Amino acid sequence: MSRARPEISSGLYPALSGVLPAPVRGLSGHPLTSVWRLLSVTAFRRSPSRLTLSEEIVDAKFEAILNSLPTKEPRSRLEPYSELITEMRKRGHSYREITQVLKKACGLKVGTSTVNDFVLARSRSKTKPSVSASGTVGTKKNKRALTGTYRNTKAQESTRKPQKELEGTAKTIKELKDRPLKTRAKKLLFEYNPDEPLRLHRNQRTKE
Amino acid sequence: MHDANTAATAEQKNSDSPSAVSSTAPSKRVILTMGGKGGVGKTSFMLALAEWFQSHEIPVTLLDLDTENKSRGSLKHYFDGRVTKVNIHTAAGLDAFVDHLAQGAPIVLADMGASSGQVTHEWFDSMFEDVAATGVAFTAIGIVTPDPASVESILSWAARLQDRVNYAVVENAMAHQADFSYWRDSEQAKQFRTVFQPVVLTMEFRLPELENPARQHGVTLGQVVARRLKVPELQRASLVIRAQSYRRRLFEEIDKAKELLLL
Repeated sequence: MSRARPEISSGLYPALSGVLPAPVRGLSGHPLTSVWRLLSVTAFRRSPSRLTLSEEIVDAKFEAILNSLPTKEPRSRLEPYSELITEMRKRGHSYREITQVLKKACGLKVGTSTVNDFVLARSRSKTKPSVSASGTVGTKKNKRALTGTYRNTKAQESTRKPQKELEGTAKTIKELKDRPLKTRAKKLLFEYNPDEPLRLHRNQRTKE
Repeated sequence: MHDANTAATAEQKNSDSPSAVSSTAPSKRVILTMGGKGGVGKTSFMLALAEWFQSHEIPVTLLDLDTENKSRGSLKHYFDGRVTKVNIHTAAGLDAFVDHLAQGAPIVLADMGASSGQVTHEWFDSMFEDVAATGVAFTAIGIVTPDPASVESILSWAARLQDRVNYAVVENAMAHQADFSYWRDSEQAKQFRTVFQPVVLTMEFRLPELENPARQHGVTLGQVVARRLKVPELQRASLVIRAQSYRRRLFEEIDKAKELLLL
């Protein structure tokens, strides 16, 4: 079970996610101090096509640093038991019961609130659709690029609508486009020009 | 200029939007005066109309939309306590019609003030379609006098309202020998009659001895006839009988338009 790492782009620095250089994005999950150090050097660098030789050397240096960093360990002790906890919750077990099972069967002593926080944190990260710096919902492609992980979002689920439903929508759109615009200009039954005097025809006068 | 006044035939009616002429009976009705020209007798006729409904025990809501008319001579002056004064010169325009129909009697009598045309026309342009869809029908009452301006006024209103209302035109004889040439013989008025087929009613000339004190004291013909007034000049026997005769004949005229006045 891989551990969900903290996200630089969608968590702490949503406004910066679009401008962060690749090396900084690769540091997700690392302490803020190391991120800041890199950021101060690289964030406002010129485009790659205009890099100088010295800058290319710096880039290679960052790459080497990143490669030398050890993989971060999961922070929660409950991470290895996440599937067990999730399944027990699905089956209606309380947090207290889960705590007791973890203690008896796995030898792990944790508080009820710890289990509760763990479950809530996981459910939040699964259901909350992430929003990129530009305000758009992350797609599968750019989500991977930004965070290195992929999670289901409602927006992504909507792209998997059944084919029939999509065809129905397309049909509705076509009908709407084909529908003629309602014209407000109604042909007048009676017109009168107030600037013109009333025309009398006394010879045609009829008794009404 | 000539073709600006040409009237189209009934076949040219656009079926997309509702018109006043409906195959089904309306559930509510607004009867309004075409209030372009002042002093032609709009309020006098509306008073008679209110009395006509009263005599038939048909409840109506009376609205006085003549905001510029002074207290004396306005609908409110005659039916104080039963008349709601409405200021139409707001963004809501004539929305009071809708609210009063929703809350009270299914028939509204609205006495429009002079120069209320612009507000009324704009309200019809924006609201008529949806209000008519709720079963509300409109009857516009035009008052013509020998003055050609009164004829021009109703023709201007008709050119804006088109077939969204039913028309009744009252010939108000303001003099003993009234000449309605401009209404009866002008080309434009004939076109109006051909297209909209208004019901034409006659309101005969009334003696000033009766009309002036009645206006001054805010009393209707019915109240004069009932002899319950403490106005000496309206207690004369001849005037009481005169009032009764005027009232009876006017009611007979109004009967001619009952299809346009009832539901």
